[in-house]
Amino acid sequence: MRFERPALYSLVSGVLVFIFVLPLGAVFEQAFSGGWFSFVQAVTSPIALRAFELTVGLALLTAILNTAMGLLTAVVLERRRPPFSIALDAVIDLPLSIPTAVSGLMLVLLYGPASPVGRWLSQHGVTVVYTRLGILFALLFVTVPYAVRTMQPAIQALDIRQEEAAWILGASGKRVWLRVILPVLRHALGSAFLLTFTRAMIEFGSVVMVSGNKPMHTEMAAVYIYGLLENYDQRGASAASVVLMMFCAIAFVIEARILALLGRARAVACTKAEGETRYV
Amino acid sequence: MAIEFVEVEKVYPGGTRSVRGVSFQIREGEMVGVLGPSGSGKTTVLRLITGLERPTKGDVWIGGRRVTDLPPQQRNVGLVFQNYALFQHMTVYDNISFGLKEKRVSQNEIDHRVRELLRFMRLETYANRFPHELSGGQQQRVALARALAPRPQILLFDEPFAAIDTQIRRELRTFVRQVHEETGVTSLFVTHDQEEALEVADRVLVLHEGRVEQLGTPEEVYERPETLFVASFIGESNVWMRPLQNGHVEVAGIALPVDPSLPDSAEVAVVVRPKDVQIEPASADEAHAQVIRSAFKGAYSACWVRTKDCEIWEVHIPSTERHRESAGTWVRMRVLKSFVFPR
Repeated sequence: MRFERPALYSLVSGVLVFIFVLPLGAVFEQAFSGGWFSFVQAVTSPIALRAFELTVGLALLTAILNTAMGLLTAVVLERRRPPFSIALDAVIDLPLSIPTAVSGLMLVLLYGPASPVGRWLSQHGVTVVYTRLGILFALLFVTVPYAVRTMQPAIQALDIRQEEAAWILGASGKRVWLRVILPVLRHALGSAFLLTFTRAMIEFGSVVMVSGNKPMHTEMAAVYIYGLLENYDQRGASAASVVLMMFCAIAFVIEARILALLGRARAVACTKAEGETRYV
Repeated sequence: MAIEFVEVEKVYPGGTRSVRGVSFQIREGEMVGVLGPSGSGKTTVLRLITGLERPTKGDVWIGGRRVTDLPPQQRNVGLVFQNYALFQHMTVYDNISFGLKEKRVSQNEIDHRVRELLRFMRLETYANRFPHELSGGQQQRVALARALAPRPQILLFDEPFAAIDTQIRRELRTFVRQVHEETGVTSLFVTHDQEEALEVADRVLVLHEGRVEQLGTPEEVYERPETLFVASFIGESNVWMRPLQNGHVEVAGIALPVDPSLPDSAEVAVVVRPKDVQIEPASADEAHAQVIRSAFKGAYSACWVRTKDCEIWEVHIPSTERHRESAGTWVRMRVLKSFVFPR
């Protein structure tokens, strides 16, 4: 370790401590301020359990759907290159630059009972706004860029000659996907899945707009925490926060392991490429 | 299986005309080297045989059957890619068994065939390795085994030795030839290395700018080139442009015979191989040229002479003759053999 620049190090660590470490500590301190028992009691109340269940369930569903969507979109962008691909490429990043509350509002306006689309849907028995379906829509919208941007470089890096070799060896298009493409993409798919899962778990802005926040029905964990704070239950809010963070931490650790695997695979590919150029 | 191209043309989207009206016939069991500079369409010819590309015009026939519209899965050909294109996430064993599994061969048979190929390719101890754990030469042999496993009717190689260093390259060349002799399967390999093509192939298909220049035995393309391109591309050559005069053409003051069917006073290209020129010392008045430099090259000595028209010729003198002329010597030249092509 070098400490030639004490000012720089103090600045960086100071900022980290005040905006990250201490606030995080405060949450844990508050969560366990009544001891283990009251912590467990707070996070196992029926409303809390239901909120966690709903959050994990919808986040999983979002992750599954958007990983598939990310794969398909990346294939369209990288392989098919339709004339509108530039526009599509730009649209993918839109959810990142729109305030999430606005994303929720957009859904409420489009699918709400006041709009023709919402009216038509409700006439056919589908209600989007203030239901779990609405939350799913919001989560899908907010997390799609993460899935697409994770899959794109992986699709780019595919060696098309391996696919050609498989065709020549008699594999149909479907079999090539199953035996050659998907196995190579497995790390990227896992990474996209976990990234969208974590992002969906912590989403607040769009969910609070679109969900209606009915306890036991459409109340998501992040909104539940917010509600507790509104009712001056700081300890309960902190306890629920710790549980939510745990879920994300687990996903994050798995994600990091996958990234390390990816990194190793890439390093192998690089040394191999170097070896080849040496021969040429 | 025999392969036939009938007036095949391939235009890539974007307008690149890669192959322009190519026709040729390859006989059953032959090993043919496809030779040409980069951009001559060699790889496209190979891909047209595999079905990875479809011709814009014309037809491809394999074993008397028109396969122009047949997808690669149904053509029963094997291809060894330039950089092998091994499945990186599969072991050597799984790579080799890939094609057999796709053909729904029984597990017993797959195992038997893969073991047989592993032995044949001297890869027995590597069955459970992954491609990135192998050397270039070993990867090449896995790629060859993978292509051979489903017993293809035709075996194709795309620049098979390009990424391998010289010594192993020579070994593999012999090995590939040996594989061809043992399996007897019709084989084509693409190369830009003429030495490789002449050494390994039964016949050589010379391509230039998407056209067939000549298809012949190594001896034929070397000794009886049909076009100026073949004459200058294969082997060393001195090439001069000359007008035709009274039924003959003159280079360095030496009159050379010409095919009488060529029209008079036309521009022709004269090709003389360095080995087809003999030189002997002469007085400055009688001489055709003066030696500038000579170099010992093992089996022969190369000698560069400047003619009175200030053209530089390369001349090869077999080492057995020990005729190394020193720089400055005046020499008379005898042209033993020459080729004349209309321009």
